[in-house]
Amino acid sequence: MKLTKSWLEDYLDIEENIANLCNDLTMAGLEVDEVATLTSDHLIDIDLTPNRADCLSVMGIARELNCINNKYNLKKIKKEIDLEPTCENINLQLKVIDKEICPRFAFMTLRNISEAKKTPENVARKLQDIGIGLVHPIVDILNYINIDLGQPMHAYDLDKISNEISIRLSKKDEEFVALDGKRYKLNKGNIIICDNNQIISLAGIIGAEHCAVSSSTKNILIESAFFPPKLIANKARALKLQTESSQRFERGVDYNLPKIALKALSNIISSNQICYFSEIGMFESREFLPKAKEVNISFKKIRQVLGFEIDDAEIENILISLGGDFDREKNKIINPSFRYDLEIHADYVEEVARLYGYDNIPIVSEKIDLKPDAKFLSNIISRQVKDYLYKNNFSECINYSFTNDDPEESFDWKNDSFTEHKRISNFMSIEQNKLRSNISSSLIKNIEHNFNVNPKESYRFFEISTVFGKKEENILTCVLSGKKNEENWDAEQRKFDKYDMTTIIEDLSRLFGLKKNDFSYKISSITKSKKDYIILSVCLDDLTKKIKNNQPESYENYSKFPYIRRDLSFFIDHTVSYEKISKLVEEINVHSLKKILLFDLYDGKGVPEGKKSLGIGFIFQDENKTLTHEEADKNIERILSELKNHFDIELRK
Amino acid sequence: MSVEKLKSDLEKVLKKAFESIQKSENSEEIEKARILYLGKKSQINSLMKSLSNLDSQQKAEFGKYLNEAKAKLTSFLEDKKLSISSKVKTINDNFDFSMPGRNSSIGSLHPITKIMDYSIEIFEDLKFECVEGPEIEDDFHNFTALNIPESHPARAMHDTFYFEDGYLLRTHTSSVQIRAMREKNLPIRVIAPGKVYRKDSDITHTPMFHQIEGLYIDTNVSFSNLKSIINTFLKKFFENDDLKIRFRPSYFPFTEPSAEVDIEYINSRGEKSWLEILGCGMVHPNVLKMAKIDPSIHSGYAFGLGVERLAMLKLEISDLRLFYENDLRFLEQFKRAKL
Repeated sequence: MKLTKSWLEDYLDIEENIANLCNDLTMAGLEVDEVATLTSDHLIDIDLTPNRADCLSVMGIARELNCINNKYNLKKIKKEIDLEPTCENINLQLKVIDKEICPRFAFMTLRNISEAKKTPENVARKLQDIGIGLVHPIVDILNYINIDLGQPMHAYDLDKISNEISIRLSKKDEEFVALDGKRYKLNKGNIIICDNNQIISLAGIIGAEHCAVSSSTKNILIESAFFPPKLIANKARALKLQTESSQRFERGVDYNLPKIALKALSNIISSNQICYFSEIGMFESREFLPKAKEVNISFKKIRQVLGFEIDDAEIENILISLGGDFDREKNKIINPSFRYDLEIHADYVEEVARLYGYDNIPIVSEKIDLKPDAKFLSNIISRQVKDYLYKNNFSECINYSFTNDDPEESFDWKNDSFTEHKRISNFMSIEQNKLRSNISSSLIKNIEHNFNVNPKESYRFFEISTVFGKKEENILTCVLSGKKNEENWDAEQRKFDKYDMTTIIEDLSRLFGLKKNDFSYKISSITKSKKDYIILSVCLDDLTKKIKNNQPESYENYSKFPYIRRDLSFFIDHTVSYEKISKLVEEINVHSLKKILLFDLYDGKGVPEGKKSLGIGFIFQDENKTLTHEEADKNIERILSELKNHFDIELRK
Repeated sequence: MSVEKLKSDLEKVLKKAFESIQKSENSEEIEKARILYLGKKSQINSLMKSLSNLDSQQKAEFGKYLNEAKAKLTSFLEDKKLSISSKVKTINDNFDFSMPGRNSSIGSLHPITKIMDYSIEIFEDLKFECVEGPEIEDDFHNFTALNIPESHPARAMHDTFYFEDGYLLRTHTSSVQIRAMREKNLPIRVIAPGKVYRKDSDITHTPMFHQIEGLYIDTNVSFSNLKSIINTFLKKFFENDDLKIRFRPSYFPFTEPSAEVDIEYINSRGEKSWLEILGCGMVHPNVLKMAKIDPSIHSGYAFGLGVERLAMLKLEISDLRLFYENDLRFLEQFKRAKL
């Protein structure tokens, strides 16, 4: 809402300087966004909250300033004078199909408008100061009254409409060309005003082009009506059409204004001798006008919610200043017709706090009697995982949850082909038209970006985020690319491989007291544009669940007797996983076997085709006695014979 | 040659030998002394050879004497050897103190994470419990339960991403608070951190951003309590006990009274201005009712923080877009364990 200080001064005595005036407005909830200096005036731009429709006029803001502080003294409101009409009103046949859609419709006829007439100087200057261009003398005066009082009105070229008018709700797909020259296809339920032939206006939003006022217009019908906010709200927005008028009607215009606004119009027309004007015509169904709301005020509750001792007198003064009816005896208050936002007790609590000044309310710390709650597990686990990764050279990324139709997006985090993406109906760009089902493609893009702008030899990225597969899941994804180490005087220069991810899984298992197969994860690698990427994804929801069931950490006695180690080196088929071997050894259940140690993996020169060479150490130790070499030999014989029974192995010399 | 003469010669040699072993500082010197005094060509050995010139009684007498002396010397030498080998000593190598080490293993945490964790820790100290909820929400939890009905103009404030099935991406984490209110027992004291989405993208808006919303519901929770918690948080967050904070009336459908909170901000030129930092208020009675909490008995406050905004202020980041570019030149600046 833009207005000038001098316009405000039509209503108020303002002694304060502009800075104090703006501060008073801001601290009462009418946030001043910007102040511009004009020649001998100031342009104030107020960022109004949507509940304060009553402040969408200069009069409303003046009234509000007077509530804020009575140093802003209201001038004797310039009473509009009842003038003798200078012409006949039209014999309007108005049919309101559904009374509640337009409970009040006032109108006036203007005749004999001459092309030579200009917009009154006072009106023109005020509109131009706040950035509203001049269109036509009558339209300009209507715009002026809209800003001044907050009543939107509409002017029809009387010679282009019939005198039989109906107001009804639109059917779906009815069309009309608005005065902005655009054709609109209406939804069901817009309030429309029609004459015998066609739609002449989209009520409270915009008029039709064919009957709009132009420089050649001779006679005008002025509409000054009340439309219920609920029936205007969202309608203009749905048509991507927002006007000064719709903005006011959807938030709520004072239903007492239509007649006052027409009177103001007649006063301006008369004093500037612009044209003839008729008396005011009126159709109304009072029972459908908004009802005043009565609220019981509890001073105790006000003090309780605000948390400090504010006197009765102070509360009373504030409530009275609001301009509604406050009954001191019964502690009942009725909201004024311009304050739609005052409906319940809490609304009055806010008024008291606001006009008392939020900054004047004391700061009182609460006495909390809460048992320290268990911290939210999943959050804590994410934090610990992030901490581990960041201390192991990973950099954390955060990407948008949106993604596009790239083929690499068509996998979920488990790397399964995926087609059931959540698609956003009203996406902003095709690049962000659905929700991602994996994090790895985002991280790969991050690596590509970094490689292009600032190449490095080694990338370790991770991200923890919700992904949107068949359900929402909280996933950790790590991506490795390039060499294990940046160039360094000593560093081992090898490429990352999947075993680097195995280390992370083993570390995470150890950190949370789990076995590495206790929770779901996936390790994979892909090649894209000649670069290799190693990917690890872990389901944190699953990890969290497993950790919740975990036994607490505790001490176990360890054996104080010496151990004996026996090593086996053998060729085995490539397809036999280490896990199969270790599981088998576990199942043999050799009593004193303490640990298995894979100390060598080799498949180069000297190893038969399709085989690999493994070196495994077996560590034997007894809990209660010193183990003999004979016992160790017997154990290793047993393990070897079982291995031979299950797999095709050949011992290496 | 008399035994006396031999004995006195031996005494002289022994004296020298003990002294030189005693003086030895390392195994090389000890070895030299061994060769010199106990080796084949040593004087003691040549004295040994002169035994053949003695008669049998003298031979026996001096031989015994000589052997005892030799044993004593040997054991002295062995002891010395042992004491030298177990001695703690500095290794002298070519270590260059100024050389860089092998590769570092410190990566970086995203500044959003750091600010989020930092804020959560402050709230946890103030006895708030962290709660989480889904990012895809239904209309009820995101709007209706927050007193934002279909036709409410406040919906114009939230430009929302919708799915074909009518579900939406949450526009605030207030939806998580609604879930907490419906599921938890009173009193409720929670914060809900997380990602939120709004259909907005320009220099000061990204379509996805992070919020921390707080909620406290109990008997007798007041606006002055709300002022207190916000003051405490902001002063701790900005590590400034003198931080100037002001509360301004504002409007949110889910709170009444509602407030916007500004902090005083001093730019590099020393100019002071007020900077909007968060929104808050007393939970609207309709919101309580919808969560089946009786507003005549219970009251509560709620607040919402934008993490990106806090991060920009705290870490002096000037461009919002940096957060989502994931450029290492940006990310790697955040290596510290604590802010």
